[in-house]
Amino acid sequence: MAFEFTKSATVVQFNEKANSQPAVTIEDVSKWFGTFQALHNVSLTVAAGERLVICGPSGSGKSTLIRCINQLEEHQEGRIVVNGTELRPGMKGLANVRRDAGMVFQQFNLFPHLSVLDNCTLALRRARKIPRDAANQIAMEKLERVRIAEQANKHPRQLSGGQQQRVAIARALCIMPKIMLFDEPTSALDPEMVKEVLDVMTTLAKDGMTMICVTHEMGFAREVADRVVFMDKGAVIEEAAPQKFFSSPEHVRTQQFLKQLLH
Amino acid sequence: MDFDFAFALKIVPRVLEGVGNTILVAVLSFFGATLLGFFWEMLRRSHKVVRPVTQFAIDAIRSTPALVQIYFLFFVLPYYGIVLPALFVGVFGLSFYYSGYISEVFKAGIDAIPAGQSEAALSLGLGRFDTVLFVVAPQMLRNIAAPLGSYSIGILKSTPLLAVIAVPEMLGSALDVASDTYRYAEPMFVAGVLFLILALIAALLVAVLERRLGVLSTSH
Ligand SMILES: Nc1ncnc2c1ncn2[C@@H]1O[C@H](COP(=O)(O)OP(=O)(O)O)[C@@H](O)[C@H]1O
Ligand SMILES: [Mg+2]
Repeated sequence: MAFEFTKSATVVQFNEKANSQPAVTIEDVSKWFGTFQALHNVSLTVAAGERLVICGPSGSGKSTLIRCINQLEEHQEGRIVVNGTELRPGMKGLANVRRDAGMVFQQFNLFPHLSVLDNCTLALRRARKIPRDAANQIAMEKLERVRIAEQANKHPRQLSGGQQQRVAIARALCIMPKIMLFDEPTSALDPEMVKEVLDVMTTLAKDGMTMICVTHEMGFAREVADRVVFMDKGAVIEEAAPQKFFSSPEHVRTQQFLKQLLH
Repeated sequence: MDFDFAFALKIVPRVLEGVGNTILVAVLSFFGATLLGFFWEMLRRSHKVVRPVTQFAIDAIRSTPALVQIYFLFFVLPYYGIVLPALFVGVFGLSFYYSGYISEVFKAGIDAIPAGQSEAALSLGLGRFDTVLFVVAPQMLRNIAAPLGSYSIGILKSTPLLAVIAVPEMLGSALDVASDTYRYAEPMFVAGVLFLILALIAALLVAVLERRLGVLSTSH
């Protein structure tokens, strides 16, 4: 990794924020697609400044859970509270709540008809009504942070997958989110590009960003996560600090999953 | 009767008398069909009760001959006291007929945009309206340019249908020459060549437009 990361720094920050409200509270959340139940009474709390990694087999509901946190999917039962605001289906001001959570998708989802810079400034200009010059300045800052400022005037298709994903991270950072949500951000990348994206995510973590990452990059989880959550069949099976999660997982299904991942 | 090339050249100006109306009808019908087609598609996407009704209407429009629709409008509407100029009925008839097809162009153009595009926009806190205006619409425009272009040529080639309700246009002019001179080969030949030239011009315009949209945006 690009730099040394000390867990003690994390702990200090964590304690400082111990009294403030949790960044995300998920209580007994259930979600159905038609008759198929994708989430079964999921409960999770993420403190401000905390880094959570979610893993689990394909189809276990990881994406569904993370998409519920900014209501790209609506849950039918339970409570989801983001920075003190409870999310309800069809609620007013949903756009404002969504601005608190930046989302990074597996497929990048950059806007192909806009330049890298305009991808980053669109929400600033349209939703936040920030004039173009000021928006450009904010965007350039974020693009520098993911080390891709020199590509600002290119179109997404002119960039490699790793570069596109870094732009997607910068775009999400532009809305000044309090939390960053990552849904398998490196799964669609060629192996040689995984590192540049993980490095950017590690930097973000080091800067104190609250993060929820669905990922199977176990090196990243070990180094960055405060907690690792294992999901299977729409339920949270196990939740532990990475040290314990990887060395002595309690549940058979977690053990099997980790074993498969290593092979 | 041999084909007389000199005669064909001589009647070009007379056949061309109808070209203005042909272009007018084609352009108006194209815009009418596009607007109406977009309206159908919005209706189809509006509500799950409205959707099947709209789909049925679109299928009905597409499955009836254009000529039947035009005759119907021209001869049936007056029974209900609605008397419209032939040109208006013609433009409306062609707009109506082609709107069924063009609604499918819009449908395909919107369906081709990955769901992740509007999800990304919404997750950035953009509202529904901004998401459609700045993320969905520009990509849809790129997707529909080519098929819309070929329908514009289809509409141009359908304008002679309006001869049946006596809208003056290029085929009408050619038929006038024919009935005056009792020669059919040359007027039809001239009309055909002139339509070909118009179609080529339209294709060229479409290609230029596509290039411009292509510069604005390509691939996902
Ligand atoms: N839009 C949807 N409609 C129906 N079923 C869905 C939809 N999205 C996800 N599912 C189902 O929900 C389950 C969980 O999916 P997902 O959250 O994407 O899993 P993961 O991200 O862990 O691979 C899967 O069985 C999937 O088929
Ligand atoms: Mg997933």
